[in-house]
Amino acid sequence: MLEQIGDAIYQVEEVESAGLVVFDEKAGKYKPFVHVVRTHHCFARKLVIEGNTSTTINTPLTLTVRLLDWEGNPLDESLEARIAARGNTVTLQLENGVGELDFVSPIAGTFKIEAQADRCDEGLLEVVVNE
Amino acid sequence: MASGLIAPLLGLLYQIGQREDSASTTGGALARLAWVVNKQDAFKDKTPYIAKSTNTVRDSWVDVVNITGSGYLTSVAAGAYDTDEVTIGFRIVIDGVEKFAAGSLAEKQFFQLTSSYDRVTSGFTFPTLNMRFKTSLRVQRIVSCASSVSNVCAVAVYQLD
Repeated sequence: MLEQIGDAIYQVEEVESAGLVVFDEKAGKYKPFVHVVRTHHCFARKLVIEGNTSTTINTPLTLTVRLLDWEGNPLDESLEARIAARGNTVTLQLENGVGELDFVSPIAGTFKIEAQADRCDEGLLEVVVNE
Repeated sequence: MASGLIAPLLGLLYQIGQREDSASTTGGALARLAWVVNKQDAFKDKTPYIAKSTNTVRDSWVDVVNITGSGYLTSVAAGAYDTDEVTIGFRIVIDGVEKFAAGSLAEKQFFQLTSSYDRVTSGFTFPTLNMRFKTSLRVQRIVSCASSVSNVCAVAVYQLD
């Protein structure tokens, strides 16, 4: 079962105690105590990066970064996102949940592009730059 | 047959009378806790659980586990794999009281990875804590890095009563 508390989504698990019991007044008997364990599942918001996954050297590749809720629905919010690839980071301002940037590489290779923001799941896109 | 029934019952009644932290003192009449004294009370017999968080969000506290119940926090650990230096800190809240929070760099280094010029790599470490919690446990982690963190993992090992 998933549960949202604040800006995070938790996986909720109920674990019956092996030795601890609690008295059930209605039933008139003791029953196992139930531990409630919540583990972080994801944040309520996430970033996604959309665009082609291949380009050539020095050819700009337009990428769109979107802010969605954890179930994939668009969010109409402004947000400052950090876009990173191989240790290089730029800041992108998302307006109404959308922002665009051009990715250009002078070298060939595979680049993992990450979009991050505070209290928000990151977006990932792998782009191949050909000769 | 009779002794098999009476013995656990005696243990039950004894504990109801002895425990001052039974739920009846804090909650309503419905919640009367009793502790059955048997082999499951022994720390060594409890089942270990591991909660894991691989979220890569930086500079924010992220829950690794948040438990309503009682048991032991056995240990916490973290690891990362990145091209930049990664610092990881933990916050431990037992029964609603913050017991430890990595505020300064020195405190974070207690659980921190070492870094190299090229790439940070670390295996897990498991400092033994064995901290008792009676009503709740919350373990959070915070990650700092010069740029996006590619891979990070924080775990909490715990046991439930």
